[in-house]
Amino acid sequence: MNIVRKIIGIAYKDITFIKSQWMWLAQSAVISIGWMLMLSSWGGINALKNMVAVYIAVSGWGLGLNLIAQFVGWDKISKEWERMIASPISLGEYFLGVTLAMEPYNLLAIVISTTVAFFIGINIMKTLVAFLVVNTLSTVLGAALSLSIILRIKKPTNISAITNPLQSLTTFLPPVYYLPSVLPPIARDISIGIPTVALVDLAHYIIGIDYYFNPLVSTTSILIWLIAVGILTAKVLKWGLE
Amino acid sequence: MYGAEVPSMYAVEAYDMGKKFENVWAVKSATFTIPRKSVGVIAGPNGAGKTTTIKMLITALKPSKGNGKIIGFDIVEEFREIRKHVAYQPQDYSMFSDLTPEQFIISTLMMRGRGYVEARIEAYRWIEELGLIEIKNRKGWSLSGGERRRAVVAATLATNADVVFLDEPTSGVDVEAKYAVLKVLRSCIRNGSTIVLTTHNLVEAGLVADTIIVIHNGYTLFYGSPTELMEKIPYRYKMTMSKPSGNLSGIFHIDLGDKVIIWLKDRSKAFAIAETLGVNTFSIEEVNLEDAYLYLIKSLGEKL
Repeated sequence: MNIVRKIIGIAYKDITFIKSQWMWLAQSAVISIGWMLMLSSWGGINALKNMVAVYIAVSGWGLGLNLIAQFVGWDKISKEWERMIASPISLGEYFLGVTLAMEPYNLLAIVISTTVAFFIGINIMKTLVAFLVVNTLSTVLGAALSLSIILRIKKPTNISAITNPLQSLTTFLPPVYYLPSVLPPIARDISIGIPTVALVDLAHYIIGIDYYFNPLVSTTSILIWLIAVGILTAKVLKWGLE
Repeated sequence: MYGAEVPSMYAVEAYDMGKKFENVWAVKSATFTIPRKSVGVIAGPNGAGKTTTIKMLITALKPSKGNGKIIGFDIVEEFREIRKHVAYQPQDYSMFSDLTPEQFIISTLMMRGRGYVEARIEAYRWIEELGLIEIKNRKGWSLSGGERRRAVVAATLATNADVVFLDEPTSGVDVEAKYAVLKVLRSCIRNGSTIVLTTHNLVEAGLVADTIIVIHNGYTLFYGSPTELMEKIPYRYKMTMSKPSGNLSGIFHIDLGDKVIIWLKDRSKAFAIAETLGVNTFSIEEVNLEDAYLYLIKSLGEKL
């Protein structure tokens, strides 16, 4: 009970910020709906199916890479981090609290992806399972990757200047919104080494639409990334006694 | 008490504690104790190592040498236990600008495991204590620096932690509010807490401190009561005058540019000194804690 209260306490602080910046949430909804409309008009049902898988992975990736990392970075700069170290809060409780505060974004993503899935005939249960598995993995992996970089910078005053380009680089350039089959053969095989490509392809598999890579290969790629960024982050993520 | 450990009489203990960042020692040797249920003030010039010392005590930093204890728990070996008993207000910390003082205190208490209703009741008590009623529902961005500082002090004290560390809690706070903060700090120790704060203001330290710790250039120059600090200065009076043309060598003084402060053991010598220096007008008053502190820094600090 005590642990739950602590997590809610951390979320209470951060959610006040989300509430006051509700336009971010509205912007996120508008962009998502716009993407769905654009793809349905140009690419038809297949493009929309792909978009559901992309949305499941990319929404979690953006949340972890950009938003959670920015909140954590800000807490370090503003000395909130030190205030929390000198308290009974553990590092795990802190991260769960910050993640809980971001749930309005996840709820929005769930509502949009399941609604679209319902109208284009994708199994809702499979969509929810994909959300639970892929979105969670994307959030954790995105946050860990971002933190492993941000926490190495001595004066991280402009965190979004790092996280925004990183998000664009990992989502727009590799075959995330488009299929790997359009790439030259060598590039196709290499692309599975990019975490977002592996996450989206796994989402394709779970929701039951065409996937490009063997799910075992995608899962292995994700696990290797998790271990690698986990080690890199653990080296710089210290909860006191620095 | 057979078989049980005797609890330490000190809330804070530091023994030759030091911290090195790369090749620079921020704190070279901090040694002092602060008894339980008292106010300890850490004083020293900018860059003396006050904040680094506090950060080691709250377990944010690991000492490079020496050791420390909080209510008997070792700051490295038993850091988890310590974190249950301390609260910290960092220097220049400002509450989240989208929160109101009330929300900020509630969130601070909930983070430490209190329920919402309990946190709200406790928050109201501290809002009243620190005179924040009028602004309790105003967003942080609309408050002055001093109001935000008071809200942070209220949140830190509301934790009811056994040992509360406040890094410059009164900086930027107006005089009236400053006395309100100092009054609340004294009431906290009556309720069982120990308060450790840093300040540059020795007059303020004299009002509130049971123990004063003077840190300079990473070393502890002194720790003891304000009375003991006053005993360190061998002078009883100070005369302030325009900078004289006469030679000041051999006279213990502080150069203020166009003015000088000269410390005296005996009030009667003032006229003789003024005559020697060719000064007609001067003021004379008893030395205070600030003079004792300055004397300590000048006489011992420069030898370090």
